[in-house]
Amino acid sequence: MSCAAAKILVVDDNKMVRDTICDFLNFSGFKTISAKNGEQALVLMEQENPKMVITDILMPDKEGLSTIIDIHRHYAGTKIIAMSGGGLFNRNDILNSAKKLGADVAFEKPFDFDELIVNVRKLLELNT
Amino acid sequence: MSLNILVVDDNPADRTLVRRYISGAARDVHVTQATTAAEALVALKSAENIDCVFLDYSLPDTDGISVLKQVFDKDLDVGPFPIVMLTGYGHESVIIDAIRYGAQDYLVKSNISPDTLYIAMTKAREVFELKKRGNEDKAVMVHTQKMKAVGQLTGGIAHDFNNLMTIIFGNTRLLETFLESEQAPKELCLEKVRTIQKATRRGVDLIKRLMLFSRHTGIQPQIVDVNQLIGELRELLCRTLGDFVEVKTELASDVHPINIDPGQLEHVLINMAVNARDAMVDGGVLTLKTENVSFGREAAVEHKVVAGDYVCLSVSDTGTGIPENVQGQIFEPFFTTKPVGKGTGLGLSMVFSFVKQSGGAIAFETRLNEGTTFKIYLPKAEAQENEGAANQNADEIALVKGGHETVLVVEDEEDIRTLARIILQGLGYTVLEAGTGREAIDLVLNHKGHIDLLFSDITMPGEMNGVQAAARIKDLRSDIKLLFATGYLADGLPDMDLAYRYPVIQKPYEPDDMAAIIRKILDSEEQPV
Repeated sequence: MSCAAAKILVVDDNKMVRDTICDFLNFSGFKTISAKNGEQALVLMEQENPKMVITDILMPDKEGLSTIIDIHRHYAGTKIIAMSGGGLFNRNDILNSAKKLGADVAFEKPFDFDELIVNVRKLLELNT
Repeated sequence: MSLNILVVDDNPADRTLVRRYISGAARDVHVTQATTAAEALVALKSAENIDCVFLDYSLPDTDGISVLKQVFDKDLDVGPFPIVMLTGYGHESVIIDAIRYGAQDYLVKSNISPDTLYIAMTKAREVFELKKRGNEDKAVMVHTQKMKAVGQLTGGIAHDFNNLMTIIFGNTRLLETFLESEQAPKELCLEKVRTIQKATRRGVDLIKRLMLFSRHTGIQPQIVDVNQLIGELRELLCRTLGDFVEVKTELASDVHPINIDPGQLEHVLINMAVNARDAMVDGGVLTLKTENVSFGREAAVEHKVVAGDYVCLSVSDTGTGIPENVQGQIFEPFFTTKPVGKGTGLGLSMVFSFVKQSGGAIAFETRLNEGTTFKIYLPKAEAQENEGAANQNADEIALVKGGHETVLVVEDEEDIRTLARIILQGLGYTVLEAGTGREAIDLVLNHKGHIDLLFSDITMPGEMNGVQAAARIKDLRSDIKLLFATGYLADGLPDMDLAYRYPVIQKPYEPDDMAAIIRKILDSEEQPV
């Protein structure tokens, strides 16, 4: 699979975070689409059929864990990366839950963007 | 109202600092001092009433925990009393033991300021009283609620901050990649730089919010136009007080500028306005009035202030008035006439503390069922301070000019120091650098040429802070001008009085702001001695 064929959906309620991740993925050769919450993400899943979803957890209007459950259930084969900056809950607990619910990889924010790309490539079975 | 305080510390400088800072907390503060645990226990046994004990952990004959155990030992008949444990930097681990053995609150010595001492004392007395009444559950609840609020706020801020770090991390990495490639797209690079700046500014705002909540901002006096402050506050007051309270203002047009922390003054006014509303059960009129007054010798003695010019800020309501039998108690902490759960009884005591710390006075006139007027007198700002403030406007700062003078930058964080050097060198200045106060003094002793400005961080590790080093440098070179930089909580440090006589720039500062302030100081004829 080539980078050009891989479309990635980035979900985060913070626009600057969303744009930064998309910029980085675009620069690394991936196509991106983005959503600001789980509800928008599920609409885009249906319309755009991305190969991968990178999603934040704490978001208004459908948070990340229930989004991961729905994607895992209805779009089998879609790779999922969860990310969280923590907050009111323990960040590790959230990320562990995300993995149990279907995320392939989970990152604590802030994360190393090179590591993100390595994981994206690995999950999409691309040559690094 | 009077307060009896016992300070137990073998370090005379620390004792003096606590005594000086707490003396502004009430109208009448009696401070007893003890240098050893043995002296402290004698003082506590013989005392009729101690409102709060500030107990240092490190004492020459034993440690503070042993004292605590004895104070709270029912068989020994020493206490109990409200106790705030003081610990030195690096001794934070004793805090858990201190709380376990009965202290109601603690303070790390490097964090001591009038505000932190007052808040710790207030909390200690509050928790102590609740426990004494057999309401241990309530004491736990006060603490739990505060911790819950802190938890929610810090949790939210941690989440937002990690997002900002993600943005900065990602964009700096992208920028690095762009610049490593031969054809770095300039516009794209600039876009990334601006995104990083935007995220950084948001981070700065977040920290301000956090510090405001934890009350670690320290008092930041600045020249304030009271009329303008009231004008800006009016809308908020209207919204807060509801439809049944009409807010009126009567502002004298020529009112003096005052040198005050505007955030604290706003807090005071909101507090008093809410009190006024609560006194007007069927609605009414709240009037905020400003006027200039001049205190001669007699009036100054009456108000316990120095003679001179003051701004009188009146807050009047048309409420129930204050009954005669409680008029003497209204400034006492915990005194409240409001139902349980409606008032902490801390509002007016905080107002009183703020006014005293600001070198002012407070008085009130009240008539039953007609209303109450509180008058706060705050001293007029000195003339040169006013000019200083007028020069600080943003338009002027925007025009950054360089120069050829010599600036000594003292900063323990190497990255910040290097950044300051690069910016100042870029503007044409000769820059000398030092990482500690001691290094700065040695450099000044050995440097043959003229040094025009000392630009020093206030909080630095080592034997002396930036202010203490600056004082020595000022002795060596009386013509050197000073500018201080600080992150937060400078209030607790020794010798801060000196810093408040010179300009202080708040960290993190924008490079342009720093350059503009330095140019202004160098161009200014006057710098206080």
